[in-house]
Amino acid sequence: MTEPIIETRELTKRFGSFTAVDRITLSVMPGEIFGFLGANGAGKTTAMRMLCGLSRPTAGTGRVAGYDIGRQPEAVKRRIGYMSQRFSLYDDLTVGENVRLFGGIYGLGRHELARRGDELLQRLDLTDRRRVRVGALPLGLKQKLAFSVALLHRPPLVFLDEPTGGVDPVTRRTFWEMIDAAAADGTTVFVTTHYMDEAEYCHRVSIMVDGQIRALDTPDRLKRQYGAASMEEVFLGLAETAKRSSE
Amino acid sequence: MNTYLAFVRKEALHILRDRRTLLVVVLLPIVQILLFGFAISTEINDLRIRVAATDRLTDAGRIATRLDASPYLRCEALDGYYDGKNKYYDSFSYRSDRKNYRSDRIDQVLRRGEADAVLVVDGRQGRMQLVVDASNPNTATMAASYVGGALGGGAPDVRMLYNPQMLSAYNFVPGLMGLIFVIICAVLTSVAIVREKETGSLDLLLVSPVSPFVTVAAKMTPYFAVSCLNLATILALAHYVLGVPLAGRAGATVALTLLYIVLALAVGLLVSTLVRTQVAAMVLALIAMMLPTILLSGMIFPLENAPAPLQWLSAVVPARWYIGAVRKVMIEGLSLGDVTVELAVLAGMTALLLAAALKNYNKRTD
Amino acid sequence: MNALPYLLEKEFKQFLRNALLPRIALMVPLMVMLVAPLVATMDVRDVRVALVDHDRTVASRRLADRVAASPYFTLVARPAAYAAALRLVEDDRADVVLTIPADYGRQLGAGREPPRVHIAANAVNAIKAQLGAGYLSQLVAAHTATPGADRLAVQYRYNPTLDYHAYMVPALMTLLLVVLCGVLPALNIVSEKEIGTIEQINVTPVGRLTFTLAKLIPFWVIGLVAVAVGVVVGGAVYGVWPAGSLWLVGLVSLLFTGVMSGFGLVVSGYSSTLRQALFVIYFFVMIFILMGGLFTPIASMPRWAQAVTYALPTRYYGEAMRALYLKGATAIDLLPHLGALALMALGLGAWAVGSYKKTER
Repeated sequence: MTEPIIETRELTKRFGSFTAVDRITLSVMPGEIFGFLGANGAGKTTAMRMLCGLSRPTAGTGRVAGYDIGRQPEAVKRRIGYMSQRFSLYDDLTVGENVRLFGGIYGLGRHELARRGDELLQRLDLTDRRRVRVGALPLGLKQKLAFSVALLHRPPLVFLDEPTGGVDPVTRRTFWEMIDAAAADGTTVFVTTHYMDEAEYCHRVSIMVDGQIRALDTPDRLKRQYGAASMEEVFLGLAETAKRSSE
Repeated sequence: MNTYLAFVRKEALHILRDRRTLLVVVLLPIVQILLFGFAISTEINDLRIRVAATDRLTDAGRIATRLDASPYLRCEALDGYYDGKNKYYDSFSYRSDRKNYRSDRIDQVLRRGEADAVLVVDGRQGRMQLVVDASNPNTATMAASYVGGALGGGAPDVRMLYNPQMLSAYNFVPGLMGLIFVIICAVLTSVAIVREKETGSLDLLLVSPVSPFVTVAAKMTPYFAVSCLNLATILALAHYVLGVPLAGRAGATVALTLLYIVLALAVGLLVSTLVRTQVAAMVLALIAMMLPTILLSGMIFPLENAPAPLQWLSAVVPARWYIGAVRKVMIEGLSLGDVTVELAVLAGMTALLLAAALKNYNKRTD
Repeated sequence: MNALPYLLEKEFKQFLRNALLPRIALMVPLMVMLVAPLVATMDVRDVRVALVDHDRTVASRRLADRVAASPYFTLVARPAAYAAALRLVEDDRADVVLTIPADYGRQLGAGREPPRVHIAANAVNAIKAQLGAGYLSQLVAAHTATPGADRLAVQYRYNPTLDYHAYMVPALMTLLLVVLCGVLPALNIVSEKEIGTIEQINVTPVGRLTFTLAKLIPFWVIGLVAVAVGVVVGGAVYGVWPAGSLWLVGLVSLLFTGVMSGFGLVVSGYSSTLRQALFVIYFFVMIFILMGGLFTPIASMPRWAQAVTYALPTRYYGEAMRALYLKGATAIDLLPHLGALALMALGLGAWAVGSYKKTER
């Protein structure tokens, strides 16, 4: 049996007396698309920041891509890709410059970088817009570019923080096709989202409420377990039990 | 009125929550007044003089003792040592043949900044030469004047009027007040407003039915309050710690300062309508307000020395009028009636700035 | 470290594409170097003297003529009594009152020490008062000197024409480097923090040293360019060129730039909002500028404050630049300054690397 690529045990983060993430335990297998759901303020972002090595856990353990997130956060960072809706590429740099920058940061050699960069731009049909500043691209295209850049160094695992926020439905569809393709290539995708139709595309989902994981299974089994017709109903049912306010 | 109060409450909460900024804003003037009140002085004293004799027969010790008696001079041998009484050893005075060496040594001492001047005494010729490091022309002038005074007769009796001990604190207080209020009021308000622009919450306020005038006034009120608090602490420190006499002068100073605070807030408001990012607001405030206030307000440098075009230019720097007026009422004890020109200019500037700012502000809502 | 060139490319491009920063980087040196030397002059001219002559002899009249002939003084009035002269000072029509006592001329003529001349200066403007009184007492002392006293010749070395610009130009480089290389990097990083773009770097394996260097190096370059502009403007406009080596000017400026940019980074490491960063920086910058001996002599500070100045990088840089410009100081003369600046640059740099947290607690 293969090792899980993400494995946490009782992972906890406290800020003073406030427990943002409360003893979460989960494991994600290589090649999986894992949906990480929860209302605003449920603790998803904090949990994801710990998994990426951006925030040190207060208690509990976690291993990502074979490294301990508390003790070896830099080793974890070498093996993951990351993109978020809030910010992912530099708006004041051009498409080509952003690709170069992130390729360079992950230590791709000059030739390798040029080859993969060209390939990436071709795939997104951006070759002739190489010199356009990212800030001038439409949001959907920007997010697709950011996702491709996050995969440029071919990490085994990529974290996507609300990647489709504010994007139109057509672009969302094509974005998810890209996610599927990446997963088919063996890349594990760990994604947070607010769109419940997207949750249906995931292999497995977890739902966080008040810092704890309240449900974790495949979408089908969750719907059956809660007697719901859609993930939306499952989510709303669980979110209603929240005691923390969403802000 | 109720919406106004609600906005003031919200803005005050913003300030109170950011403890660190609040702490810095409240402590800043206190520390600065104390530091500069006691540390900085334009008075030139404590000049270091080295003494050398050209030959062993010259009694340089007598000269050194006379220089040492001056409160402004500190005297040492160029080389060798001086034991504080009457014996004076100078390793060079025994070797008159090594004149070049002495001149090199003088140059070295001055070049390394180990002394401000070297006095070479030639007893046989009845001559003395003072070699002064003139890189700072004023130190050089004073060194020549003090040494001349300590050596020769005929030195006049000098007295300072109004500020007898030449406490520079007196002079720095108005200057620092001019600077502190510009920084605190202009920068804080502009940054506070631009921050809302950056996060988009300003649009939220602008689409609300509240008139922009109320929003703006409410944004400025807490900063006005903080500034008044600063004013009170500054005046208290100036009086109790630096001993600036305030009796009969406090009222005029407060009136002037309140006007100046409103002016600075108006500057902040205007800056905020001109830029889009916080960094831009800060850089603009820093470059456009701080540098001119330091250089063109007469805070450190008397403006009368500047060439005429710069003197005209300084007329647009509010701090110049404010500092000049505060000097008059706080230090010379004149009344508000004696600073009507300054008051009128400051009031006019405030009105202009507010009008410009509100015009720009309204343009956004159209 | 392999990522450094890529990060540097990013920083430079972002800087050049910014609407404001390149202009500021050019404007600050120009503004400071063009305006400041003209303003930051403590050259005192046209001190207005009110003369009260109780003596009315040839000797007192000759003294009055000397005062009137001096470029430093204008004789504005000759009131009969001291009280009337004081009123002139109060009305801001005179700066100094010079009183020649009765019997002055007679004693001087007889070769005896005459009664002392009295000088009263309006100290509200401290510099003018002190220098005015200083010049005036030199003049009076020279006039009053009794024969037989030792003759004193004064040689003004390094700046024989007593040109104040020559004194201010080198030190003003401090002002421009403090603003450009201390303030800008701090604002740069804190604004990346506030906007959140720094996260994108934190989640990559870029090392802390690499990241810090990528942030610092552009400001070293900007600082050196600004100093070059400053040197050229200072030379072209005021005719003030360094007497010492230009390489040393570059080296000491680079070290100082390193200190200031390191300082800016340390401050940014501890600030979460731009406001906080700005106020902390403002606080230190004021101390650096006003206490560093730029505008007012360090020697006139009280002992404790003089001790504080040993911790200020501006003190070493200002002294070194002045020594380089005016006295043609050599590297050996400047060893203490170079050493102190290098230590501070290294210390602050290490602190900046250490305080930059890629993983929050």
